[in-house]
Amino acid sequence: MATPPLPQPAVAKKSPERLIVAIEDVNDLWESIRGNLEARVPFKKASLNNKARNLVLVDKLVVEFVQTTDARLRRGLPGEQSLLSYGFRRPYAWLIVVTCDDLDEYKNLLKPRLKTIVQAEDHEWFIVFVSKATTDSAVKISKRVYSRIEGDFSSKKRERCCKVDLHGPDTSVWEEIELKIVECIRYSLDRRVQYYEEEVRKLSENRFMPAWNFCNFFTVKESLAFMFEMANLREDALREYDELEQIYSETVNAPHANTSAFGGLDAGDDCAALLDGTRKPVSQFAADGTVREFDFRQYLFSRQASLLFNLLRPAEVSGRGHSFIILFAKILTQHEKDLPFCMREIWVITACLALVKATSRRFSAAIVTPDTVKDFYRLQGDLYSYARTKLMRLADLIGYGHNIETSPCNSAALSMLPWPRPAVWPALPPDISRVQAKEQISPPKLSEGLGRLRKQLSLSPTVLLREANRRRASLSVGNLAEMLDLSRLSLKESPAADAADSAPAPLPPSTLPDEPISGAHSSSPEVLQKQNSIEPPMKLPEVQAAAEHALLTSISDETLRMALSSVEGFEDFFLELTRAAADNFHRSWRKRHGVVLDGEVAAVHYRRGALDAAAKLYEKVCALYGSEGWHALLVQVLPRLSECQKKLSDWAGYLSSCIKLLSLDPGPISNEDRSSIQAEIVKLAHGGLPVPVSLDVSTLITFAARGGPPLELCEGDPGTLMVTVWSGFPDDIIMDSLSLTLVTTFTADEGTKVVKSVDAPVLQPGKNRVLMTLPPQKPGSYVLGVLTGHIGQVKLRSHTYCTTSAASSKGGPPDSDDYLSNEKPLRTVLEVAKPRALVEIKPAITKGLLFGEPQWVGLIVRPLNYSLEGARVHISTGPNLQFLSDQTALLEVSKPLLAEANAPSSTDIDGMKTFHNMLENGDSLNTDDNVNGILDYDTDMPQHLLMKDGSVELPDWARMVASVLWVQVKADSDDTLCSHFSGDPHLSSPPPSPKKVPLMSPDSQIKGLTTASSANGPHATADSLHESLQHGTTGQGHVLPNGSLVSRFGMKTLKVKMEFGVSRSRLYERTIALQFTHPFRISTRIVSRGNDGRFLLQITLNSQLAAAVTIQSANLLLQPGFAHVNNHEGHPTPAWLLPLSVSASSECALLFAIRSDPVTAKDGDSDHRSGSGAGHQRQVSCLNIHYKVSGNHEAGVQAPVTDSVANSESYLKFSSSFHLKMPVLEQLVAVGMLPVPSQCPRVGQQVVFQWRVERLKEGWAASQQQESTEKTFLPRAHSDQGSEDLYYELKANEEYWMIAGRRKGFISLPQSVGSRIVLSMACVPLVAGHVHPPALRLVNIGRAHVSRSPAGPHLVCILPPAPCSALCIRKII
Amino acid sequence: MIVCVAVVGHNNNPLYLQSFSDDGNTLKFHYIVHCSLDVIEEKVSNSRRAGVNLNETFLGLLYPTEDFKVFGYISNTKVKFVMVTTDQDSRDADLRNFFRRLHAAYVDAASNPFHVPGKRITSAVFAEQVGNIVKSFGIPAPV
Repeated sequence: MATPPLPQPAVAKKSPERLIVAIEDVNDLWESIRGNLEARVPFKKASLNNKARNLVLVDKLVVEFVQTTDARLRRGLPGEQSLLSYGFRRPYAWLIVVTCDDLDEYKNLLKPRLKTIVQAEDHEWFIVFVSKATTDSAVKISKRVYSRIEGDFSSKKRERCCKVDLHGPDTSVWEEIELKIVECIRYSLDRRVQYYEEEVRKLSENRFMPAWNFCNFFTVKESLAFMFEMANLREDALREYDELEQIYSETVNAPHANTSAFGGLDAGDDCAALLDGTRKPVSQFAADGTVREFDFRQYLFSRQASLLFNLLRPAEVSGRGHSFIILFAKILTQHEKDLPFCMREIWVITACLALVKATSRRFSAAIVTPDTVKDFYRLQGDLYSYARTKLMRLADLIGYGHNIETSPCNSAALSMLPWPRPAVWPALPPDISRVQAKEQISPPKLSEGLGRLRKQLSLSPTVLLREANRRRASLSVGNLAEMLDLSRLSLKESPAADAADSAPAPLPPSTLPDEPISGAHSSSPEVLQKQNSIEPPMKLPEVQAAAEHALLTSISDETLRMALSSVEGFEDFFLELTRAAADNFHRSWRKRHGVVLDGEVAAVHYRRGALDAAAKLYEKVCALYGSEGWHALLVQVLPRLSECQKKLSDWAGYLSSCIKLLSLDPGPISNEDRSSIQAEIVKLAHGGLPVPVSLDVSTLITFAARGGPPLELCEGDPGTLMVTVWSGFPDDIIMDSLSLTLVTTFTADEGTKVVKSVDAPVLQPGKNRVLMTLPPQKPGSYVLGVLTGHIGQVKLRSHTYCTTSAASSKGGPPDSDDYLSNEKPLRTVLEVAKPRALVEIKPAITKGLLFGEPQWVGLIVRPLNYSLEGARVHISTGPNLQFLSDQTALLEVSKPLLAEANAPSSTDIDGMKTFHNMLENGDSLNTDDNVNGILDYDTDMPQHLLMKDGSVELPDWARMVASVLWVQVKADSDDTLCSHFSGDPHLSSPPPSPKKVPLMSPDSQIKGLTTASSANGPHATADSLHESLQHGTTGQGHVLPNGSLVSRFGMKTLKVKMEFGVSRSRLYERTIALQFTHPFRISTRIVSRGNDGRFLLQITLNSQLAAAVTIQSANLLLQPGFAHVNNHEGHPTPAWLLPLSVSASSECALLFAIRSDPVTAKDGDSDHRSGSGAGHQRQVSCLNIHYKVSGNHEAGVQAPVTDSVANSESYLKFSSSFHLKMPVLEQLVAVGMLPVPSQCPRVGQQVVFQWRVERLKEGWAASQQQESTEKTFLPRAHSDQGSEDLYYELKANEEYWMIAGRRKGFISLPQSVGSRIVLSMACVPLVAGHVHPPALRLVNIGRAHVSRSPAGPHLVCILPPAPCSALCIRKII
Repeated sequence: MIVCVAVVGHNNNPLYLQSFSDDGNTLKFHYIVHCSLDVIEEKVSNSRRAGVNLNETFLGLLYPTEDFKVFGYISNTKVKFVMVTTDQDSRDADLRNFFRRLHAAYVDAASNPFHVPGKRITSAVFAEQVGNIVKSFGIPAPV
């Protein structure tokens, strides 16, 4: 392939971006169409094939039209080398511009010439026929010529002609030409790419041949890349460079690679050229035949970068650049010995800055994704911080190390970064002033105040002095001693030595001389000669001065030299880099990096006195470290912050910082320092603070309520709350006051209460117990809120939920783990109950108490979950109840049995359980002071308590358990004479026997009735008595108008008052009803009656007690008129029956044989009539019983209280009186109502009732009643011979009956037995229904003597009145 | 040489940090580990965003610096393991094996009933185990 080489490669290299289109201007027409063609450049719609043979639409394809007469196409030497190097620059298309207006001319002249041109070279061409015709004939001719040209040069496959009509209106032809040009370019490109690829393949195959030269390969490969770049196929170009780089790395790192010169020794090489590919002529590589790695790598990167920039991917440049710089720095390290002093550091700094500058200029956040933006800024930050690190290294080297903060960040960066290792350390500068200046640099003062807490970290990997002297040729053994002295001296001067001082074991001196000696021995003789003489080892200032001198003379970058020439310059540059790095990190994901670098910025501010700015930045850093618990790092920053705050008089901030320092892990801060910090706080608090300061000490002081269930208080009760406070202060701290807020839960209103501690506490380090006084609280649940302590002007606040290292590291609460406690719900510490019953007092036994005997009355005092500590029970009695106000009461634990017997309730059992738990644990109560008192108490034995004035104090053990207080009372019987009641509503009375008229009536009834109905006279009394007997209502439930229920049924009252609660502020009052009773309720009846007037009297004894009663003896004293049959002196028959044991609530009966005794009856009658009080006793019979009650009061069984040992021989006496009456044995008259005549009487219809009165016994019926009724106003019965006038009375309800006739009157009845009379009475019923008929009564004959038939009242059915026919309406069904 | 091994809790609080360098300067490793958390977060969030490698615990190289390398590993409970080494070339398999063993040691330490989750690991046994793991780094683990 004969291709003319392209001339002027250097020129072409500078403008490789354009594809060349050659113009073969045959007829000098180029200028006429040039404007039109060049206006279309760059081509918009060019489609080219990329390396993978895919059609790619290339926009903005730039082409350059060059005439073939142009010198650029003419010059150049032919040759294979140049074909490879420059072949790609040859024109990609040949445009042959022709015109012709004569066919002959075409045939003879133009056609051969065109043939020559077309066949001259192997290139893509096409012909543009320009027609300048204006006239029709000319147009016609030119058309003909053009068609001939088409015919000659175009083929079916490819159109190679195109016609431009200069004067024609058609402009679409230019587009056609453009397409043709692009087509030509495409063909050319494809062919050339193929050619080059073939070359590359060939070279690659031979890569491992010895004769292989990388330069050749590079030339071909780069040509390919250039070609792609020209064709705007930059991706392909980039790929070529990537491959090139890879192959280069392989070549260089190959084990047997010939080590050519590294390069980097030219002037200005220290300034990175990684973005400047034009600094070194690349053609030099080919010319020399060797590639200098230093230059070549930078060149490659610059090419890649420029392609990426053109691809609008500056972020990728950053990323690749960062890696490249790191990689290149490593390569520089490998060649450090051959390079100028500190070349690597300087190169990195300049490279980073150049890269940052170039990328940030081209970067636009708008066209990339947010992630890319962040990543870009991250890379910028990385680059800045890389440059910063290297700058610090240089600064440290030349003696500016004192101006670098010895922070962990800087230490991490520098202490692992080796010192420069040149072959020979630079020599001292000629002028001594630099050395003197370095000597004058004073080491930084040790920080005062809290700053001393910061650790001085090493910034250097090894001792610089040793490094420097090792690399000097002139050191000898003779200077060893001096060297040692100097190294010690300089150790103290270097920052590293500061750290070494504090380190426990400094370097042993013996290790020091080893390396210098070996270094000295290893020095080559040439170097020794160069140094000319053996010099003493350099001192540190000399080392620094030498380094500075070397650097300042070698650095070509102006900015960097300025920065390193003075401390201020360095600081400015350093600040710029740090700030830029921090800003970029803040814009990326790396907040921590950013904040830490902010801290470095703050350090510079601090050094320069801009405390305000420094404090703000330090706060950020502290917040970062503090929030994630990196205390070791925090200790490095916090003291500095506190110093700033102190100098700024930001006392709140300063104190807060002090508190934070104290709350850190104790490791980094010694105890002395902690104590001094505390002293500082206290000193400030007690003076020196202009305004009160509130501090959050949650990290230092934590608090919690006592474990276990919350303290329960009742509404209105004050109390004390034990709070455990953990103090993280190193020493005791005296608080002026300590208060705590209680926060209610579940209530929306206010909800915060402040409680204060009992006394001003002194908090010791670690666990403290503080007692808080609780004023009476509203009901609700409370949790602990904020603990506030006052020290002088300082208010310390702590929140309960903040449990931190302060607590945990000092033996704090076991559950104070950060995560656990955060998730834990707040624990209720105080429950204030709603108002409720707190105590209940009820009687243990309410009934079955014996009248007249001292009895134990039990009061069950049951606290309802409330402590009855110090409670006092006051008892007073109601009427007729005797009570010894000074006595010994018994107190015992309420037994479940007893509780069940009375009122089974679970609270009692709970109470017992609680009590027993208390006994066992002794600590479950809130205050354990008094628990010991109950431990030795025997629950089986009641405790004796002295009662004074009716009040008794409960002992401590009884404060939480239900207990029974037994006191003695004695009830007086309402009636000492007859203490028998038959009217107990709860007990059934035996049914009366109406037929057998009771011969006695209970005396008390008689008495009661007598007193009640004295105004009504004896008749009424007798009547009502009889009636009551008849109806079988023997006083059941009768409440008499003048007698109260209480006294009526033996009810007595006991008033119990209890003062309890805190300071006995609460009162419980209750009146307890006690029912007293007699041991027996008696009833009598005649069980058998003899003809001789003897009776067998049965006295039934119903035991009223809940205990077994033993009847020892019984004795019946009879009233006059009666006498015992056998003169047994009133003992029951049979006599062996006694003693008799009666079970509880059962009944027994005693039998007495008695007879009527007319002798005594008359006496009795006379006595009775006289109405004297003395004789009254004799009117009643009396049963005396001696008995004994077995059982005790606890079981609800009441034996009378005995003072000492119960005397088994002493018996109780019970006497009951009753009145015996002679039984009525004869009925004199019988009265019977005859059946009602009509079936059913109607209302308003007269009915005649008839009664028949018949005499049953001969004689005067009414006369027997004469005596008893003589005081009445009844008309006396008129009696004539043989017959008796009986007074009758008709009783009828006037609402029911209208009686037609005499209601009252006399009837005459003959005396003979069987005489009868019928009395008729017409009555008119007034109401319908079943009504009582009128009743006939014979007034002057005792009711008992009248036999009635029917015996009881019966009812008569009365129909409604007959309907009136006039008003009757027939209802049709 | 491994110069530092650290365990960081899921709240990014340091649980354990042991320096194996002999200059006594542990603080710088605190800094390095702390700052590497940025990178760990970045990697985790990026992979989550990309939806890939969700189950991969080994995070690879965190810091490509000139003088040392930082590698990371994150457990399912977001406990991070960070290792700083001055070796320039470490085999990926060695690193994975190292972290797996470190993770196992941590699990053992955290299973101690006396260890409070989220608190610093003070166990001497754990420290010893870590020391052994560091010592045997790079040596093929016995099968």
